[in-house]
Amino acid sequence: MTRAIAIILIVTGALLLAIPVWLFPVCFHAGGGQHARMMPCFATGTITQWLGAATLLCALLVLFASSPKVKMKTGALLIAALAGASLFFIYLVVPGVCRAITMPCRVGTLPAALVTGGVQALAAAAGLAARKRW
Amino acid sequence: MTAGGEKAPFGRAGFLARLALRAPLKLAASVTVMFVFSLAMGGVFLFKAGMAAALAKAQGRLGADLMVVPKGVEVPLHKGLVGGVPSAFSLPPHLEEKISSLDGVAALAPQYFLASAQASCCEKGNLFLVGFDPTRDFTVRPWAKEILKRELTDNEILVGGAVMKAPGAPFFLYGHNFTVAMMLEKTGLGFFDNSAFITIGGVAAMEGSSHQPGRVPLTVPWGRPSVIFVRLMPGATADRVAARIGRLAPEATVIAAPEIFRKSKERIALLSGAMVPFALASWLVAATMVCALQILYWRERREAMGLLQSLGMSRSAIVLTFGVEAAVLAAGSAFAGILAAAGLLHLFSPYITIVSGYPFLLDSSLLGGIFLPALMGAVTTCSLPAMLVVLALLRHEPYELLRRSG
Repeated sequence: MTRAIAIILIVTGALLLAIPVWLFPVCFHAGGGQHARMMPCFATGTITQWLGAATLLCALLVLFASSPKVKMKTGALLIAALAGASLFFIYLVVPGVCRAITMPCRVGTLPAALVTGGVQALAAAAGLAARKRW
Repeated sequence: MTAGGEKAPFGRAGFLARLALRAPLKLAASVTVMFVFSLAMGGVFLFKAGMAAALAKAQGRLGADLMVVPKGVEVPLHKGLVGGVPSAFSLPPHLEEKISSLDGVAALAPQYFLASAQASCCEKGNLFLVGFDPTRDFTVRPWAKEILKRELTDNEILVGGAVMKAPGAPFFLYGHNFTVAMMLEKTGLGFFDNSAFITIGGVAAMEGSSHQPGRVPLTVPWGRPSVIFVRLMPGATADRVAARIGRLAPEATVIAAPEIFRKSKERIALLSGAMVPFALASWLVAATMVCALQILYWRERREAMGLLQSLGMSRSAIVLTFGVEAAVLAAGSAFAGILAAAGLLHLFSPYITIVSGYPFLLDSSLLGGIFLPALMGAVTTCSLPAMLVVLALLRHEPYELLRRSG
């Protein structure tokens, strides 16, 4: 079970790293020019990548930490769940994304990141719920 | 009842839930299969229904029989109409006067396609701005008049259903302050949903403000609109009038109303044709997997069945109880699957219209039409195999069921 959760977190972490730059790029990475660095989506995309990196670290901890280290695995899963859930706040409240509906960050980055964050939060929560079986 | 004689918490339902959680992996597998199947089927049905709903609404709102655009702009035009992606092109000068003199033409509505600046002098970058003549327009003007019960002033704008500005809010474009008069209802078509409609007088004022120091200048090609919508007189043939306009202006293309969304209609027809075999094949796969999982699942629960039988519960009551449990699990999974499909489509609806080029409108009424058949299908697919497996297991004596081996 923990192995499956760790693999899901590796996938979501990698997606969070790739989404803002390559898969569904924010305005700056979608050819928006230097002034696009000042748009809120640039900061949001950067934060997303940091959360993706943190998720990957947590996934590796869950996968390779030895069996007695339950607290470490619990902590890693908690961080991964919070990272996934926090994406909703980051994209919908602060810093958010551009408000014009045709901007690349609103069209592609926002839905992709939210879906990935939701799956990550659910998977990590399932891992936390199944702790008794470790 | 517990051993101490007290009533078990949540009665029989709680008892069944505690029993179900004793085989969590198999429970999760059964629920996941139904969830994924409902997600896939719900997604396909809602997508097709959403496209059809958007087309029906959009065609009603456009109100034109013909559309005159410059030659060679089909791709940006499609992106502008479906996705609301700003595009700028102009017709040759004096075309309006030539078209209005033709027989069969009842009304003309020229429109100027502009885009907001990606700079601080515009509140929203890359917004599709449409300048229209309030004395002649028959696309948005009747729509606005129906709600506002008055004509628009030059300082007011209409915003589409996807533009995040409430009625009464200020809207700063090219250094000019407008007030949002009304938000149009969503149609699923980017041309209406992702745009701001401004009167010709407002566009002129905006152009004037844009030439002040420190602003991004806007130049409007007056006399050369981007598109001319044509409404024909009753009895006039669209093909004949289109041919005459084509001869008058060889640099322009005339598109008849049914042709405007021909590609989208073809896609809907393709989806409709593929949907029934796809639904049948998916249901067969899901039913096979559910049957296999039910056999594994209920074999894990045979001790509980043996115990219930030995405590005096009749076979029919056991079959009914576990059949209801399977139905509740199936209904819950199907409900969650369809909600998830609707949620995903809602999140990605701008991607569907703007990037993929499909008009799409997800309405709550569409959900209502799909829930009941989906729930009935899921409940039948899960409950029947469950009851059959339980019936088959109950052929054994209680002591055989209570034994762990065999």
